Amino acid sequence: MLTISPGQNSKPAKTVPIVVFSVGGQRLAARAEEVGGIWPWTEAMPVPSGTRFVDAIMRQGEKVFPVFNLAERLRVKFQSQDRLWMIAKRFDGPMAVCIDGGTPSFEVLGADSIHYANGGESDIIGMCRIGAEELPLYSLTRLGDDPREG
Amino acid sequence: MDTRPESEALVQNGVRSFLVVICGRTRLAIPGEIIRGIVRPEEGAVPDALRSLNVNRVGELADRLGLTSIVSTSDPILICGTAAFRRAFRVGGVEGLHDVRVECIFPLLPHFRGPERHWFSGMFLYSDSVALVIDSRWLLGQDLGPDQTADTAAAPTSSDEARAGSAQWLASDGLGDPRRFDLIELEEATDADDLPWAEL
Repeated sequence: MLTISPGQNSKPAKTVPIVVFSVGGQRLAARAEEVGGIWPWTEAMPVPSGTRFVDAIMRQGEKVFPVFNLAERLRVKFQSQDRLWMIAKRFDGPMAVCIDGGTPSFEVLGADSIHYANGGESDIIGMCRIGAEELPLYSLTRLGDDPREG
Repeated sequence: MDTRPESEALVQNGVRSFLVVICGRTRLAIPGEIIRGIVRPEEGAVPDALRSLNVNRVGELADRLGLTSIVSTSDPILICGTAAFRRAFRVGGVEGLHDVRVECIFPLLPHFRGPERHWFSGMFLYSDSVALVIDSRWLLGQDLGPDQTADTAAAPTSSDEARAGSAQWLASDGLGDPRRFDLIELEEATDADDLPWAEL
């Protein structure tokens, strides 16, 4: 009986699960492994803060999450009250990020659909191509890191 | 877990008392041991009571923290301080005294890395939200600013004394008729919704 087996030099195709979402109408992508969940939007409580882009907290049951103001980071404004919370797995602990309502989409991209930036310390780690669309790929673990901002 | 040394905070039977107030959309918890009283000012003027308490100026707690808040002259005024000096702050509202077990107070989240780590010593779950614990030392400051004067007279040092004796204490300062302004007696509250003054 003939069987087909992979050649000695063949390697499994690498795929990267991606979550596509939008903030103030601006579409972004992030690796699915860095997303801790998508929750219905609830009102956050402002926190006086000198920490850039971190200016509120959100409570979900017995848990409290700091809010990362990605809209301010992107310099966009929300167009409607239809919003969701996305939990970002940042290096120092999970953070809540407000995103546009409408279910974010889940994509599985081939490695050749992602172009990573060379080095750098920004939270934008590259670009990904989904169909005819090119989207910036953010690292949620480094959210807020921007070498242009001192 | 509250990381402040327990000697700096009044802890009784593993419980700390806080006065929960509102500034804008933010709930703040003022340590009970520094609360000297609450005053509802007469419309349009700073009550003579404040002057008698050696408080020359009323600050806006929301402004101090950079919070957006619509201020009204009828908003309650907190008198905070120690035996050495006092400060007065106007707040948007008072939700009441709240006892919190020490193990239920946790530090400000590590994502906050700026000066706010000096403003707040922790936070706790309160009602359906969260209350930020104001750092007493930051709120009062160690220097005598322009809005306070030194008061060498003895003052209550425990929250219980402050609660029970506020009317007596004010009377002993020679204020005369206490009905010139509304004195709000502090009562322990387990839930803001149950407070008779929830409408403040």
